[in-house]
Amino acid sequence: MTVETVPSRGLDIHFDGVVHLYPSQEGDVVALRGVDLDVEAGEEFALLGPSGSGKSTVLALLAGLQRPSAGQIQIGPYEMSKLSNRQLLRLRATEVSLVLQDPARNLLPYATASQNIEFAQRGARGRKHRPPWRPAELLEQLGMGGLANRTIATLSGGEQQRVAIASGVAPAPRLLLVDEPTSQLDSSSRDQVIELLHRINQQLGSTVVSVTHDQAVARAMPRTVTIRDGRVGAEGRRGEEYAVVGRDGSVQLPPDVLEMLPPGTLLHVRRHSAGVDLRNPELERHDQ
Amino acid sequence: MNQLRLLLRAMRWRAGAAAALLIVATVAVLAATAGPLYLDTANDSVLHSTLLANPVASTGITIIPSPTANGGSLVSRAQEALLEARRIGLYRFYYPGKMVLDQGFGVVGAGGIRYGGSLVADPGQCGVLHFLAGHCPGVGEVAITERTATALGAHLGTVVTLPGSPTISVKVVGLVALGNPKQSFWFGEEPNYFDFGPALACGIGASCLPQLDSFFTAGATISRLSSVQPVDEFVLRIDSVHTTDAAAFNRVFGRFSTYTNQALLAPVSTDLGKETTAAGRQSELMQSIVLVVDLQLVLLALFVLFGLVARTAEAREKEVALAKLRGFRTRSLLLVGLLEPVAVLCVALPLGIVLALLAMRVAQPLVLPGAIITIQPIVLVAAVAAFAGGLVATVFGARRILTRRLADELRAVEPRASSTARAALDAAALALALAGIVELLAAGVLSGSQPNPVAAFAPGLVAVAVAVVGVRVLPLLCAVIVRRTRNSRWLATGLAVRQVVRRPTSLRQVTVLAIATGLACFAVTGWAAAGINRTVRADFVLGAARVLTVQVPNSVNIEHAVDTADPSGRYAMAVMLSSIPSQNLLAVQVSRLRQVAYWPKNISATSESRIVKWLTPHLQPAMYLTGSEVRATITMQGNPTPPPDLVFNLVNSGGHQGVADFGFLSPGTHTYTTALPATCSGGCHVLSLEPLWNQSQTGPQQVSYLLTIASLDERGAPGSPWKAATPRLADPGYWSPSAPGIQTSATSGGGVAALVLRVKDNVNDSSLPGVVPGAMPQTIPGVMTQANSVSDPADTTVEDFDGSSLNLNVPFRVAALPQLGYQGFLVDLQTAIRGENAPPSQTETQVWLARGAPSSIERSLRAQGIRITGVRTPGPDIARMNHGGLALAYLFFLFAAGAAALLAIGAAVFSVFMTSRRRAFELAVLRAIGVPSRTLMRSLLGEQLLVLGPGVLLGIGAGLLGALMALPSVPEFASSVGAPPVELVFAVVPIVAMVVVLVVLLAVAASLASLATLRLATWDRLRTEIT
Repeated sequence: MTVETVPSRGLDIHFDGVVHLYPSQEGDVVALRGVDLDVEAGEEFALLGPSGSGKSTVLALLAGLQRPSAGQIQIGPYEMSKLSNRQLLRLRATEVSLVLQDPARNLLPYATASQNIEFAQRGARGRKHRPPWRPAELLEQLGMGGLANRTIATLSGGEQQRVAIASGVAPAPRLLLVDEPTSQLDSSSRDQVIELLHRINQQLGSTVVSVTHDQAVARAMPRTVTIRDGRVGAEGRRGEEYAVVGRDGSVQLPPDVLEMLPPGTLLHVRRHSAGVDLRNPELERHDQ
Repeated sequence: MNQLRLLLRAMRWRAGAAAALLIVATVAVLAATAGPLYLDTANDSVLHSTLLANPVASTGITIIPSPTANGGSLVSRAQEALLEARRIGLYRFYYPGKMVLDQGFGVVGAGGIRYGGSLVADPGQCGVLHFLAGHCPGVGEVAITERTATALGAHLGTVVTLPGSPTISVKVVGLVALGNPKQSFWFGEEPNYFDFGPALACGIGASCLPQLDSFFTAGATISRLSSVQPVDEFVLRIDSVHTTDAAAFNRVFGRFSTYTNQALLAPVSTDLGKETTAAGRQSELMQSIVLVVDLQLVLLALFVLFGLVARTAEAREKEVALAKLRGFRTRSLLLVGLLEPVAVLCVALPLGIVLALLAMRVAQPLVLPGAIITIQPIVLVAAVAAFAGGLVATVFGARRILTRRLADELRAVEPRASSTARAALDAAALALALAGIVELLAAGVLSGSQPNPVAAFAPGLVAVAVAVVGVRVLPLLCAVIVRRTRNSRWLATGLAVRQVVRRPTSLRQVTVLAIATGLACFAVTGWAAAGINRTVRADFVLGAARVLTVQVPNSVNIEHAVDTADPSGRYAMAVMLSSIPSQNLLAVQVSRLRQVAYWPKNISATSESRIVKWLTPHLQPAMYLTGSEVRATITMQGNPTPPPDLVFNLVNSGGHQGVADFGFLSPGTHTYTTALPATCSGGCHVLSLEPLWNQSQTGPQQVSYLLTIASLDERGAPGSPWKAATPRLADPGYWSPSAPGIQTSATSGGGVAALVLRVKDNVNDSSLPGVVPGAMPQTIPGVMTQANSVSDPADTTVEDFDGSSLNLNVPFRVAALPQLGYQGFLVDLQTAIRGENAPPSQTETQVWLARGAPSSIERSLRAQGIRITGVRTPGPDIARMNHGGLALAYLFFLFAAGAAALLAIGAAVFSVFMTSRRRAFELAVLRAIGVPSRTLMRSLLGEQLLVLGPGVLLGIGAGLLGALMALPSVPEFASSVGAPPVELVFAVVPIVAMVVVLVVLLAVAASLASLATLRLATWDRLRTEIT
C-alpha cells in the first residue's frame, strides 16, 4: 500500500476568544488572554512566540489535553469543550496527534522504529480505526525505511526526532501538532525534519501545526502565528509579517517596533485609503 | 506476538528493575508457600520425633490373647491374628508382627546353685543374636549367652533339664554374645531377657534366685509346654506414618482393634494414641506460630513489592503517558502500565513454589529428617493468594502513573501527596499498631501467664509503631544537622542530610527496614532463648550431665560407693527416687547437689545454697560396721536374772536386716566378740543396741542393772587388727532410748570413754528396751514442688522408699524436680536411708555425674560391684525437642525473619539507589564545580546510611522491646509442667552476630549502590540535560 496525497483531509481550527488559566497556590496564572485564530483544513503553519507566551497551552488545548477556561475551540466538526474525556481520547487516537518536544517522550527507547509506529497505532486500532498503512510502509513513504528495524536508543537525535514525528503520523491523524520539532538538532537534521513536515502535509493532507522557536522552521512555513502574552501578536504569511487586530481592537506590535514605541508612547492615528498610520509625534519632531 | 516481543524488550531494557521485582515477588510467593509446605513437612517431623523418642513397645502393638469360651490354642489364635493383621492392611503402618513365647523356669547350675531364667522364642532372634559358636536353635535346642553357659557350666552339646509342666530337656546348640540388648527387636523385653546377675528384687516377693540370661529356642520347644502365653508384637513403621495418613491409619487400626477384641478377647495395647495426641498438641502450637510469622512475612513482602512497583513504575511513566497521548483505551492503557509487573508476577508464581520446594528439600535432611515433602492444595492456595496479593500491590503501586493527568505529566508537575494525607496515613498506621498492642495486652496475650502464639504478632506491631514515630522524628534531627553543617567543612555530611530533609519520602524505607529488622531481632532472641531453655529443660529434667541407672548389691552402700568413687565430691552424686507415680520422693546426696546437679536459678524463689543448707542433715552419722567381726568390752553391774543377751540390730543398704549377737552377758568386765552376719558383708549400719532377755522364763526376774560398754571395735578378717567403730561409741548424746525402761549416759571414768546403759525394772513392759544411735528426728527437712498441696508444710507425711511414712518439714518450694516433674519431694539421701525400716521397693537408684566427670568414677563403681544398667544424657532429649513442633516453629521464624531482613535491605538499597539515580545530573554538576568524587561518595553513603541505619537501629530496638513483651507469651514447650519455668534469656552473642551481619550487609549494599550512582554522574549526562 502506498501513501497517497489527500489534499483536503485535514481539520480546520477555530479559536474564538480562548482564555486559559492555570490555577496555582499564589493565584491563577493567565496563559491565554483571548486568542482568536482560524486555521484552514490542510494548512501548515507554525506557532511562534517567546517562552511562557502560551504556545504550548495552545497546543495542549488543540490536543484536548486541557479544556479552555473560556472561549470556544472548534476543530473540524468537534466543539472541544463539549467533548467528554472518552471522546477526547478517541479524538487523540484517530484524528489529532501530538508530537511532544523531546523525542524520547514520544518513543519507546527499547523498541525499533517500526515497533514504535505500531505502538502509536494501537490507540487507533483499539477503536476500530484502521490506519491506512503499515509501520514499514509509513517509514518507507516518509523516507525512513532504513530505520525501521533499528532500536530507538541506537538512533541519532535527528533520526529519533523524525521517527517521533512519524509515530505522530502513524494513526493517520487529520491534525498533526508538533512541539519544537527541531530543538536539539543540527541544521542538516533540522532541514530533514522540515522536509518531513512538508511531506506529511502535502502527501497526507493533514493540518500541521508546529510550535517552534526556530526561525528556520518559521521561515519554511507558509503561515506563522506569533503568540505574545497570551494573545495572537502577529502573523506571518510567506515571509511577510503582519500585526493582528484583536477582537477588542488591540494590536500586538512586532518586537522591533515595540523597541521604537515603548509602553506609554502617544501615537497619532491617521487614516488613509490603504489603512492606518501610527506616528510618534516626538520622533517626528526629532526627525524634523 | 508483537506485544510479547515488545514486553520482552521492555523487560530487558529495565532488567535491573524487572529482576528486583521478580526477586521480591518470588520471595512473596515463596514465603506464602513455604509456611504451609513447612508445616506439612514439619508435622511429620514432629510426629516422627515424638514417636522416636518413645520406646518401641510404647508405639508398637502388644496383644496378649485370652482364653475364650470356645477354647482353642492360644498359640494358634495368636498366629491367626498375625495373618488377620496382614489381611486388614495393618502392615502398611507396622512391620509384620511376630508371636513371642516366653516361659520362666528354675534350673540348677554349677556348684548346685539354683538360678532363675526363661525360655524365649522370638521369631528372627537368630538374626539379631551374635553367634560365637554353634547355630540357630531348633526344636528342643537352645542358644545361651556365654555368661549363662559359665554359670551353668554348660557348653555346646550340654543337655539342660528344665523342670516344669512337663519337664523338658534342651540341648545347647549355640553360644551367643549379648550384642546390643537395647535394640528395638527385643520390643522392650531386654531387661527380662538379659537379667543376668544376682537376685536384686527378692524382698518384694519376687524370686530370690540369681538370674540367667534367657535361653533362646524355637517356638515349638515352648508351645508344647502347658499354659504357655503367647504375645503378638507389632513394631510401628515410624517412617511410614504421616500426618496425612491419619484417616487411613485410624480405619485400619480400628478394624484390627475390633478383631482382637472379638477373636482374642484382648484389647490392643499401645501408647500410640497418647503419643500422636502429644505430637498433635505440638503441631497445633507450631502451626499457630508459623502461620502468624508467615503472615507477617508475606505482608512485608507484599508491602515491599508495592513500594518497588511504585518505584519502578516511574520508569514506565513515559510509556503510560505516551499511551494516554495516543488515546489508548483503558484496557490497553492498563496493559502498558501493568503488563510488565504482572508478567513478572506470573513468572514469580511457579518460581516461588519451586524455590519453596527446593528450600524445603535442602532443609529437610537438616531440620526435618524423615519427613515427606508433599504439595497439599493449601500450598497452592497460599501461592495463589500471594499472587493475588501481589496483583493488588502491583495495581496500587502503579495506580499513580495510571491515574495521573496527562497534562500534569507533560507540564512536569511533580505529584505530591499532601503532607496532611501522609500524616493521616502515619497516624492511622500508628493507631492500628498501638490498637493491636493494646488488644493483645487487654486480651492477656502478652501477660505471660498463658502461652499464646498470637503474641508473635507483637514484635511486628511494635516495629510498625516505632518505625512510624522514627520516620517522623528523623527529618527533624536531620534538619538540626543541616543547620549545624551549614557553611561548615562537613560538605559530605551536609549534602547527605540535605537530601534526606529534601526528600523525606525516602525515609519510608525506614519503616520496611525497621519492621524486618525488628522481626529478625525478635526471631533471633526468641530462637536463642528457646534453645537455651530447651537445654535447661533437658538438663533439668534429667538432673545431671550423665545419669547412670545402677543396681546396687545388698552388700554395697551406694553413698559410700559414690564417696569412694569420687572423693572430691564434685562429679558424682548418689540418688534414689521412686519409680512409681504414687511415690514422689527424690533423695540426693545433698552435699554434692550444687556441684553435680543442674539446678536452674528460677526453679525456686529460694536460693540453691539455702535449700542445700536446709536439707543438709543434722543427724549423727549412722554407726557403720564394715568388718566381719566386732568386739566389745562390757562391764555389767548387777546380776539380772535371766542374764541379758546383748545384740546389735543391723541393716544393710538393701534394707536387709541382720543381728550381731554378743551372747549372754556375765557380771563384771568382759570382752565379747561376735561375727557380723552375711547380710553385712558389704557393711551394715547399726539400727539399735538391745540387751535382750528371755521373757518366757518363769520365776522372779531382776531386770535392773548397769551396762558400761567401754569399747566397740571391728576388723575385716580374723587375725587382722581391730579398729574402733565410728562414730565412737561414747560420743555424748549419740544414743537414745528406743523405749522407756532404759537410760543412756556417757562416762569417761578412768580416762576411758564408755556408754552406760541403765536398765530399769520394766518387767511388765511388752516392748523390748534398747538404744538407737543418732535417733531420727520426728520430722526431717525437705523441699516440695509448688503443685503439691499440703495442709501443714511443717509436718507433711509422704511415703518413704520402703512404703512407710516419712514426716517432712517442707517450708521451701520449687517449680519442679528432676525426673519427678511438677509433683514431688526432695530430701537428703542419707536421711532417707536412715529412715528406712525395710528394704526399699519400687525404687530406682542412680548415680548422677557432672559434666567432665572422669571415667574412673564409673570404673570405680563397677569395681565396687555396682551394675550400671543404663546411661542417660540430656542429648537425646535436646535432639528430640529440637525436632519438636515449637523448635521447628522458631526455626521457621528465624529463617523467615532472615529472609525478611534481606528483602528489606535489598528493597531499601534499591529504593535509595533509584532516588539518588534521579539526581545524577545534580551530582554531575557538583563534580563539574569541583566537588571531589570522594566527598560525593561519602555524601551518597551518608545518605544511604541515614535511611538504612535508623531503620536497623529502630528495628533492633523494636525487636528487643517486642521480645520483652511477647516472648514470655510465645509458647516454647507444649507442656509447661514438670520443668523449670521458661526464662526469657537475652542471648547477647546471637543478637550481636545478627546486628553485625546486618550492618555488614547494609554497608556493602550501600557502598555498591553509591558507587553505581556516582558512575552515572558523568559529563555526558550533564551535556544531555543541558541541551
